Amino acid sequence: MNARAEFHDPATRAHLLADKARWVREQTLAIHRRAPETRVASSLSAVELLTVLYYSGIARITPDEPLHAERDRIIISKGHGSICMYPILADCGYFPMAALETVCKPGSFLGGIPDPIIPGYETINGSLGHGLGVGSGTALALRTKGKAQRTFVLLGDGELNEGAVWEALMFAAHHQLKNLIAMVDCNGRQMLGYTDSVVNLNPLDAKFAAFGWQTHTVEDGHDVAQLLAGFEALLASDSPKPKVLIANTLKGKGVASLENAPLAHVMGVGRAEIDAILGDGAAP
Amino acid sequence: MKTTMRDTFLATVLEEMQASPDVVLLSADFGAPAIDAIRAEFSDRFVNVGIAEQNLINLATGFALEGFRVIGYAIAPFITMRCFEQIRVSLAILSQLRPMNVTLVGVGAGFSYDVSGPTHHCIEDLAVMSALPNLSVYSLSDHTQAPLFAKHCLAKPGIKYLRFDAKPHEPVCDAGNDGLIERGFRVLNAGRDLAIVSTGYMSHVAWSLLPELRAEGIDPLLIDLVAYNCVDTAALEAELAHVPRTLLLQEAVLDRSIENTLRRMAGGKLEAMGVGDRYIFEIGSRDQIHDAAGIGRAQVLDRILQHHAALA
Repeated sequence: MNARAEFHDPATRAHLLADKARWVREQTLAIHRRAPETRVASSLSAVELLTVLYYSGIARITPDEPLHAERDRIIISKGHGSICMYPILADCGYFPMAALETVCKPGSFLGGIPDPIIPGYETINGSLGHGLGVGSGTALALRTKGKAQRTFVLLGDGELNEGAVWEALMFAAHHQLKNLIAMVDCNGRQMLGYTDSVVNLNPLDAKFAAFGWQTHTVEDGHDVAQLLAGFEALLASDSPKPKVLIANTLKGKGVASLENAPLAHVMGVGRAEIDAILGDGAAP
Repeated sequence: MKTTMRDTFLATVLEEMQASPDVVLLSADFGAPAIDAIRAEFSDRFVNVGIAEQNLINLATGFALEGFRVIGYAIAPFITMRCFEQIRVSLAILSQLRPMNVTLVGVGAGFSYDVSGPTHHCIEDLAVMSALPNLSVYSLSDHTQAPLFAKHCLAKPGIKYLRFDAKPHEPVCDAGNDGLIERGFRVLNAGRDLAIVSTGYMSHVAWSLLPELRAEGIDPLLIDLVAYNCVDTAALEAELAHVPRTLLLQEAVLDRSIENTLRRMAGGKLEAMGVGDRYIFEIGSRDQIHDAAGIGRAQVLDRILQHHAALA
């Protein structure tokens, strides 16, 4: 049984997913405590989104054979903010849990920014703005081959500043790539401050809709039930349009010093604060 | 017969598409008469991505990751420099980890779009594309070579850039293309008084100078260089071993790197150490990454001592 099976019972899965997301957040903070050079704030905002994607059965994953033809393609385009993927991938069985102890250590395959050396990573995304274009390519290629697999692409809202994203948005809509599902981790902040003070993206939902995408906005991107409902609404649709789930999240979710800091993207979290959150100050 | 590289290239691509269902052609709203036949016959495997070279490269990546052999086709300065970041990240870096077969075709080498001005003059592409690890650059000189490289690039895994002239030309000469794919160059005239290594349209210029050079009593070795950054260096060195001096001719900026400048100054006595022709994925400190890249402190010391011993 892979790590997701217990989450498929509709009666209990929201509760179990919330528990799992809590565990992922704790593991992400523990990784950051061991490897302070990791970008943590933007990893914490996407925890519930990625937990739901990987554990609920929304995405078809194949941890035993990461590049199995039957897998859904998952592209983590916001490369910097995805350290939370490490515990998820390890827990799902892509690599041993013990590897989490080695993040950013010499000889490890888990670096500060993930790359496809890591089982479960499709592409390299340390440079922003490429994932949706590549994902549009895989989606169109899969359709050309008559394959049913879908492509999921996680984007950051700050990443949407990149013009190449909008080239891909237009292309995907024009070609009616209904097998392409974008997810925007709308955490409201980028490196130098709030996104609406840098280059205002709002109204983001209307922008996607105007570009020809089917949209669904999740008001609380940390509520797994809302995320599940959003995914299910989009995936159940007969619309030929590409789909986007816009999740309103909080950068640095779960860490008081980050949650309201305009510069949270580049801030680390001190050991004492992580010790207090995890309640395991004696841990290495 | 006068014709263009793109026409003979695309005619071969059409044949390859007819024979294999895994060949796709992506164009950035750039056409040719031969494209009309392809898009009429293969509406599902010819995609006009619009005037969007950045997206073209990322789409090509997606198709290639799904096992397609991809040809990306656009105007040369735009398919190289407009989207250089996408080529670097999605093709050059990613292909080191995930196998891909992508051929980028840039039409408009050098000044072949003569009256269109500097935006369309493509003089930096050879330098910038050659700087990328995991990417082979081919600068063709005439249309007889294009079908050969269509087949070669579709058969060869990895990332390739084909540089095409925009204008129709006669073949450079009747030297033929024997050994061109294997060696990356061909000999147009086997003289020994000096060597002229030329690439692209400049091979036409070099060949056209032959009567005047002979009239001056000079019989040159004329080499048409196609595999610009991946030539068989041993074979080329063997050809050049018999001539006292070599002239490089290219319709592109010359290599302005300090390595080249020092090499010229040092006259064969330069030892250069730099990062190798691959990306470093190993996790470690800067010193450890230096070791992996071949410029570690101990490696530098070894090289100095070897160099010193060789000079002593």
